[in-house]
Amino acid sequence: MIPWTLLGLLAAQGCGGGLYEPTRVEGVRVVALVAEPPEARPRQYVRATIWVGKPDDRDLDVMLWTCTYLEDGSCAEAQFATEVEQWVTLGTDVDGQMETERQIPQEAEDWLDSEDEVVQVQLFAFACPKDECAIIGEVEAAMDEVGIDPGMAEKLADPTSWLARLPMDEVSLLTRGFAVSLREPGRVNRNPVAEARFAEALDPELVVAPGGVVDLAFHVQDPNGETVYAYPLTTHGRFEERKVKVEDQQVRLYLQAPAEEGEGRVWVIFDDRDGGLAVYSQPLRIQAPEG
Amino acid sequence: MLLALDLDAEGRVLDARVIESGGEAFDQAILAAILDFRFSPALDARRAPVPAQVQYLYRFRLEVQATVAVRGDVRAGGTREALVGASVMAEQVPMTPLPEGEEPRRVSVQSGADGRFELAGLDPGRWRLLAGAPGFGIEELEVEVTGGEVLEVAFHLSPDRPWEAPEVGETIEIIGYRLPPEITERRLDQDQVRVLPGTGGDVIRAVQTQPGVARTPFNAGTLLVRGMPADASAFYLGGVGIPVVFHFGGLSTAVNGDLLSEVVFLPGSYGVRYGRTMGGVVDLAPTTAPAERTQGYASIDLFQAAVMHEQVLSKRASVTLSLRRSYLDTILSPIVNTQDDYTVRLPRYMDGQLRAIYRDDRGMVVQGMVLGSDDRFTYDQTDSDGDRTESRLDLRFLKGWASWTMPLGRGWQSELALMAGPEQLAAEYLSDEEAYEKAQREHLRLELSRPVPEGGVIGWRLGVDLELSHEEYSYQVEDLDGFFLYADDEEGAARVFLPGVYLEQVQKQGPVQVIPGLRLDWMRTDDDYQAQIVDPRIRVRWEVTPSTVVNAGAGQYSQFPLLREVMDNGTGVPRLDPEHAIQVSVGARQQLLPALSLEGTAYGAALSDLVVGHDDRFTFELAPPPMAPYDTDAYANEGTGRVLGLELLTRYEDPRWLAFAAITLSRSTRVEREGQARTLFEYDQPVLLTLVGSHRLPRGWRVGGRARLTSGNPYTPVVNRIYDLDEQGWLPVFAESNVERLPAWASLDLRVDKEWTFRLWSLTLYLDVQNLTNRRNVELLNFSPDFATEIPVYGLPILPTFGLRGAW
Repeated sequence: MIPWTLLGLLAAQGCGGGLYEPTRVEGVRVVALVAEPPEARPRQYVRATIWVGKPDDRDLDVMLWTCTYLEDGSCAEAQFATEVEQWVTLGTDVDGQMETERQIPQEAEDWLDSEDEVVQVQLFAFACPKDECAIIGEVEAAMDEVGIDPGMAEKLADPTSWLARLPMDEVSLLTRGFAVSLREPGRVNRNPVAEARFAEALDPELVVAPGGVVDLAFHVQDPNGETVYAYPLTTHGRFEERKVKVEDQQVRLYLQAPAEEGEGRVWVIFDDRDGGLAVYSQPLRIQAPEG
Repeated sequence: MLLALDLDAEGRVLDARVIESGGEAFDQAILAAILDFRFSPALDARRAPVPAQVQYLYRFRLEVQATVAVRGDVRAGGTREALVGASVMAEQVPMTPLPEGEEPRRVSVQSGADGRFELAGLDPGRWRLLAGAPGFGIEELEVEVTGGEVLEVAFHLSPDRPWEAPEVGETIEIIGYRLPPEITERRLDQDQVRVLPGTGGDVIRAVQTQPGVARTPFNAGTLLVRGMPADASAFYLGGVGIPVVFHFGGLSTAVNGDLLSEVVFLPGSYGVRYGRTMGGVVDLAPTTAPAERTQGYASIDLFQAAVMHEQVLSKRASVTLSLRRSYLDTILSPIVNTQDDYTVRLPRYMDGQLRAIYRDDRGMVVQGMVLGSDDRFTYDQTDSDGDRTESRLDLRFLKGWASWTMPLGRGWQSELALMAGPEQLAAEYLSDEEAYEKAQREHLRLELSRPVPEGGVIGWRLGVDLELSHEEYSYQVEDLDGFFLYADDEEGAARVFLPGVYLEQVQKQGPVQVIPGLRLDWMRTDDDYQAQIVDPRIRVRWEVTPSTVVNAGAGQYSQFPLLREVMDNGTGVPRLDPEHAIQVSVGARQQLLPALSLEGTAYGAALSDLVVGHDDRFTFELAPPPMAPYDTDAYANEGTGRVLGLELLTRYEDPRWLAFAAITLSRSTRVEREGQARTLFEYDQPVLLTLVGSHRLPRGWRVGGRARLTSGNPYTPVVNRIYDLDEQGWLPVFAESNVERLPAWASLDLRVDKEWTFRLWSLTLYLDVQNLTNRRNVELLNFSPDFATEIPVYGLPILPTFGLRGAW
């Protein structure tokens, strides 16, 4: 017998990681999905913002849907939604971002017996180059139909069934949980708030010389007083650390720019590890100083 | 005088009867003396040692004894084994030069069965004594013979070409039978195992080179036999279960192989003696006779140091002590620990055995052994806050083992074996997570057997196989971060009672033996779980000619679910039944030449009621866990499988050569749940090819090589991924299960031994080079954390190891 589990821990610490760069966004990738508020009551409206990274200027189809999983693995939404639009939102990204507003269904009240009970709803955000994913076309077609097609419901409950046939680098699916409860507003979780502190972080565009370093500083506050971690991402270069703990409401992140010139984007996701998120996102330009 | 002798498998005389008397006084004398005789073991058609009944003609010779002037013994240097039939010549050293044409006076004798000799009728004066034996060098010494005094001398001959030494003992004819061997029964002799290239001289690693045994990644400590899962193989020590057969990483067997006379490997279609398992069986057979001489050794190699000493207490009793400790942790840990934030203390193990054995003149053997083993692996990590946490894995057991075998008369023999003691497997992980399995287990076997008597048609084997244990498990690992995510914490404890009975009859009709058998097993826990197994089995053995044997067998082989599966943490899972395998095999063995044999076995198995589900629960893995979709549903007896295979083995063995070629062709598939597609078994290896050769050279040299080629294991590729924002990590999306296969695995190993023999001890230096060509074999496929990149994990590069062994 060999301690495979401990060796697995070693692997998780970085052994055998190869060329994997955890702060790099390559290809199409849904970077974050922020729900405001991150916990809501039935019939409450929730604003969902999706950030997407992409390697070029192509427009992306972006699809957002929810699934409240039942014991048999199906989504409760298939039972109470009368139209696909109530369940799924389709759109196109604008500068790597899409926003939509959804109302928590009234039926969710039936799942909640007490104020302390929390129902976990799974949110899914999927991005794909425009008109290149059949699932988007199928959902669009389903939106023209009345009612919920059972086959479509199965696909939304188990996205791996169609994701397995799509190219890994050209599509992206992100999932996260979302809490539905009857808790009073003062008791629910809230998103952290992050403000960039240094001048370059406040600029609409971050400019750095090839091989240079960008110093990003933030003031981060969590309304619930929870510990917040920063997860920086970039399309060019790399951050020193994948995960940085916010201490005393301050955090600094250092981006090592690549040696080549280029244009891209930087994101920093502030995560209270309880569903609360904030996202900082700015364009990034790597450019040699003139002269 | 003509005697009828009953011999055991080691050539010892169990019983003697006078057929033609030489007179009462002679009869009594020879019957008293013959029990101390030792014969070469009888060999069956497959050259496996077997008990036998023989007729033996003993001639008394009357001689007028001259006065003995010199007596002594002739022994092999190093091992100090008595050399029978060695020539000893005394040549008188003349005081003055002899006239031309006149020869000095010479007297020659041969050593007897105990290596002793006497030279009589030597005149007083100087004599040159020369001793020699086939395969050994000549030793010479001079003595001064004086009238009336008997000189005692000892010769220790250095082995030069030992393969030329004749086998000790008389040629015997097998006229009796014991219970026949199994359909496919491979016995590995410890002396051969010790020099097998690429195995480090370890017995179970030698079993891993046998046909029908698939490779596990990194040669991990497990056996994958004939397409069955690792937990379907069972390991025994002298007929009772042993909790752990391998130390961590499969580097070494947990019991010193030098305590064993042989390793019995039964890949399938075996009799009813072994049960509660679907797959192969390995029975480590301790020696059944006390040491004939005090002996021992000390050895060191790259991985471990060992010392063993066997002390003769009397002619009938001896005691043996063996201690081993690895130092892999001491040597290699500094090399691994190149980063500041964690420290790995590589696996280290130690084991010890203390055994006493007594054998009386009638063949009763009583043995007792205390054996213990302790493996440890630790991993320290310092997190970003500077806090240190340690992960640790401990595996240990302390067992008492006892065995009592006794001839009962009228051909019956009894065997009583008992193993009892605590065992524990415990892991403590980062963040205060821990998991352990503990058991206090007693295993008892009582077996009565009677071979088909001479001229008879019926033989019997019946036994009780009883296991009683108190098992306890706890897996508090739900919050374990990292590579593995576990669904639930679990814990449970129960007393488990596993009684089993079996009965087998041997029906002999001429050259054909039919052996039907039935085995019944029960499982009962104090948690009110009950299950039973009824396993009927039948074997047929047909000795077409003395050199050709055809075998066939069919039967059911079943095993109970694990305790955690039947307890299921109180979540009310439906009752689970035992897992079953219907095995069928047909084989033949042909002795082509006295030293060359060929055997082939076609086998198949239909697996049913396999327990599936809860892949997301923690287990102490026997092999690297495959990267594949988890079946997270409740446990159920829904798995089925099919295995088909063909094993071919040709073996050449003479005093200088040991060589074999083994090829296995097989296909093993599974259907995990009803309605799901049939997929390849995770260790399905359609082709296994092994070539082994070892050759003895003069002057203590031996060279050997091993070449292996196996198919790569199937694997399930990752075709996409999902980012889990809550966990800030990636989830894989797998393709269909096991649709891809790793590259073929191949390795060439080399071993060179050189033995220096001194008068009272010998020293052996060996060099064992694994993967001589430094081939990069893919053992596993890992993935980058974002699953975008497949990362092959390679096996050992070229690994030269050396060792020293001093034996006395």
